[in-house]
Amino acid sequence: MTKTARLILAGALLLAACAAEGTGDQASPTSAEAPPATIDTGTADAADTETAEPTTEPAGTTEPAGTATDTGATAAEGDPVLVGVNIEQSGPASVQGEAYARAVELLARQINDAGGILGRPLELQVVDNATDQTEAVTQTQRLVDDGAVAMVGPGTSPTTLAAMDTILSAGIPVVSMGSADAITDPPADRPNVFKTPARGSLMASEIVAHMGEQGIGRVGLIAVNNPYGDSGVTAWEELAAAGDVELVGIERFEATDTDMTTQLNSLAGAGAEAIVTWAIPPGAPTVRRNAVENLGIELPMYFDAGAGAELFVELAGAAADGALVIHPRTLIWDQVGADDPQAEALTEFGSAYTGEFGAMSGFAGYAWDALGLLRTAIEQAGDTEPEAIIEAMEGLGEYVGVTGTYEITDDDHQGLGEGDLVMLTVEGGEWRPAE
Amino acid sequence: MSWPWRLAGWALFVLAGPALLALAGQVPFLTSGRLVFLAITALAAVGLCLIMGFAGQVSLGHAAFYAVGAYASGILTAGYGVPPIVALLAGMVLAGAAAAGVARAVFRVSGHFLAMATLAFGLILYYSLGHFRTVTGGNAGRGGIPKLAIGSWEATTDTRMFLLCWALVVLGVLVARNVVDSRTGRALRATGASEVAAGCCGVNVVRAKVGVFVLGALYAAVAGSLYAHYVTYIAPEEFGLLKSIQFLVVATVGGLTSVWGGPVGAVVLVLLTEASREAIPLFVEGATGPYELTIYGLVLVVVLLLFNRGIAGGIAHAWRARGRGGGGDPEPLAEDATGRPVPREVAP
Amino acid sequence: MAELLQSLVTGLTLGAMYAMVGVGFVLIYNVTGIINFAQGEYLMLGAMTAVTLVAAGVGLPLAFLAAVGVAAAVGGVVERVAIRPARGASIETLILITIGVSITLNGVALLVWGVNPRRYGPFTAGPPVELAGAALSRQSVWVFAFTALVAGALWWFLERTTSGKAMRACAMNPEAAMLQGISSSRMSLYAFLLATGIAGATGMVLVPITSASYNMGLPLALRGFTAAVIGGLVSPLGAIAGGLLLGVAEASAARFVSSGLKDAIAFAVLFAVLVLRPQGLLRLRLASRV
Repeated sequence: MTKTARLILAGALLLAACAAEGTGDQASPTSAEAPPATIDTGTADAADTETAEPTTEPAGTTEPAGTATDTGATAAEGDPVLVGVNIEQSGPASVQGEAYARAVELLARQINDAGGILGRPLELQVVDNATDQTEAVTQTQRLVDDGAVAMVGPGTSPTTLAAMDTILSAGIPVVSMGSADAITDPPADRPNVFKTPARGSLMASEIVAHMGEQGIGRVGLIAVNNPYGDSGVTAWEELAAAGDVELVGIERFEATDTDMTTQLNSLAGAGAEAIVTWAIPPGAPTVRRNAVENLGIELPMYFDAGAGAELFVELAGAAADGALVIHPRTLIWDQVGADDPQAEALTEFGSAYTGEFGAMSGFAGYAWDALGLLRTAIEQAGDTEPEAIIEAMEGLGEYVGVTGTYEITDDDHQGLGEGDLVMLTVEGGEWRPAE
Repeated sequence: MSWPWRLAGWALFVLAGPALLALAGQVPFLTSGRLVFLAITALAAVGLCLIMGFAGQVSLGHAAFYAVGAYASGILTAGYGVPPIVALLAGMVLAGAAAAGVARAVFRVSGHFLAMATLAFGLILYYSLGHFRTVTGGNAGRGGIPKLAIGSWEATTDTRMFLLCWALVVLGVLVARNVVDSRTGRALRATGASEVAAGCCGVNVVRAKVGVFVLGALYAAVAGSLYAHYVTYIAPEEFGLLKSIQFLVVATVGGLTSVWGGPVGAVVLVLLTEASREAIPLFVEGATGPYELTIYGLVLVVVLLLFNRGIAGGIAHAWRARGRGGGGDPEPLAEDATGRPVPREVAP
Repeated sequence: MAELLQSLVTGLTLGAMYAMVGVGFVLIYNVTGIINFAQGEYLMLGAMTAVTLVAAGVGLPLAFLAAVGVAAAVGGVVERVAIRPARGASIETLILITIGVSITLNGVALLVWGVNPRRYGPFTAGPPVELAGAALSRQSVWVFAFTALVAGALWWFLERTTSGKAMRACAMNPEAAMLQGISSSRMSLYAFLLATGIAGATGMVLVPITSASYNMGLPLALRGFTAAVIGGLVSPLGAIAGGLLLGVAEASAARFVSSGLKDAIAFAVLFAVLVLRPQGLLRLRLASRV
């Protein structure tokens, strides 16, 4: 008796799933609140042929798929330009994901208020890859199948690298917010992939330059034990191998660890003159708190841009004061001089973001720039053909973003350089340029 | 079960692959990649069903063997230019050896303790993958893995890859089925009921269990190898505790006591999660990840409370009853005569 | 020497955290036979509740009570709704149900509190306490005091009160206990309330050290479980000793072997204990089975 009931229930669940498919089909792409337009439902038919043979002539298939289904529906007002956003809204990297989502949705609203892209409304399709590598792959495919002309994300290195094969075969321009150099290097093998955060090697060499001014040569590195930390370890090992700096020790901690005093003690004991931390919150502020409050370490402490903005100050409390963080100017958006070339971009971003969400996030700027770069490239290209956008990207010249001034070329798909990062410190809980 | 019923079941199963492909063309959320991952998960879950349903051993470390397969393939093909198929076989050998070692060590304990020992093994391997950078590529992972090729045939498209994976799932279920019906399998079913009784009948319980554990690990290794060649990039995060739990969820929801549990669980879960992903925003505006997480957890609890045999177990039961109970289908072993699962291990 | 002592102090602080989580595992396992994978989530619930209230201006004592209340209330409801109906199901089903509960609570916490970790300062401000050259943070002193308090209270409850004795009886021999008129169903509920309440309180006390975030539960739960196993999984005091031992082992591994491998080593200890001495490293006679 109960067994039959269970079977019926199983059937009901499956039916419910199928029913949900039907309805979900119509409403799902309106996931972002910002865009005014509604998307047509016809993409499924167009995707039919694509799913079978996604690797054939990607440049050709994406665009016809979009136009073939779009023209009938909303030709009068112009078809929306669909940009996919593939980010980490849940899972370990959800702190970044939230900032990314806020930034792109804010910018999309601004773009649409200003008349859209190419006179067509910009439509975002935001999907959550849950910081999961397989999800990153399937969500990328989903966006391509739905006719996205470009993609922002994924927002971490492993999710981006896992989706790389799919991204390359899809051929649409992609701007990742991942940190690893392997995302864009070598550009010959990554023709359609760009990224907005600075290279780990750039951050490390800027820190070394600052240390040189202070006469510091012996460095202890403490890095989170995940891909982010690995990118820092690689950068520092290269600097040490080149003789620019002496590494007295490399210590690791898990992203979920809550006490790093042992590692800090080891580094201080090994004779470090400064401690460099490569981590994102909550790890980075915990390192600072442990060093200052628990151990009373008075060595200079450097942090990479992942240390985070308001979270670093909030979680480290009073201990945050005096920490040195190499970071784009986004954290001091309201302190740059009017003559700074980035002043206008920073004010626009900073006032909009803090006006909407209160505190500034150190991560938000990367997604803001990612979408900003794509928008400008699409405008320049004059259409949404992937190859045209990529070509425009590489020919943008100097693009003044909030993270820095990008100079993307066909052999540099990252584009930041010296002078784009500044050394910041915390004074009384506020971010200030360091001496 | 009478043969027409059995044949019908197999035909349905084999045809489910192309049917899913056809469905994927119609339904936007079923991307071709989703299907490939579905088949890969199903294959690993068939192995887990063997370990858990037929040898009665709870494993929370199945992803470890999945990792061994993936890393063997990734390192050998990308690092040493070994042909993918050879690397796949090497992965199986390695995973089998690792499984044999672990099984010999952990089978002294049972129940929750065994589950935790496998969990610990999985975590040890996971942290080691991140630490030994020169071999594994560390946390940053390892890319540049070629697509799967067998001779001149290359799995360059998702359709090809999926059909290959589905064929392997069918093959895997077929093998599992034969193992369950073999002499060893009958011995195992006996051990599921009572180790002492099986021992008295001259069945080497430990050896049989180790054998099944190794076999189950081989399924995971092949699945891992397929993953590495499909994604062409591997990093430890994919092979952690969450993956082991995912396999466990798929196998349990599908039904541990049936060789069909893996594929059924994978299909049901993918359809459910994907459909709910599409459906939730209809009710809650702007709903994303967190809602999916919550719903996934709730569905999991509800399914487990409602179907204590798993879905495939329930269907198989009904199917058997319809086929006039003609013998062929093995009785599930982790259950006693009344159809209730055997009681949990009593605290030592 | 000072460095060695510092590793010890760090290890003991970590250990006290693991111990408090381990106690919850033991209480529930002994009475119900379930390894409650969601145990870390109650700790998270306590921590998040306290952080929210403190941010709203509520005093620490009240926040403590609220943390215990919320965690125990959710624990009680979960026991009735998800655990109780599945009694007698197979081990894997029970494990998965608690995992399902864990995922659900995680998702709900993400919805309610968002992704960002939060924190409040130590209960008493001030520089660390100096111990022969090793520094001990003031919050660590609070954690030790809390651990001692919980250990004492549990001992008194289990050894000296009727309900506590009934719970122990239920763990030792459910049938005999039932014949004595002890309801195993009620005892299961009590065990959940007690274990989740302790978890909630622990979370509240740990916030200044660990910060509070929706995903803080699982890593602490894994350590707590390891602590419980090292302690033999039978007595709360064993779990406490196991936790302290694990903490010191981890800090020593980070100091003297490799900080990148310390977690692999911690779980290797778990593996070794399970395989070589499933009855636990520490068969303490300090207290009888729960």
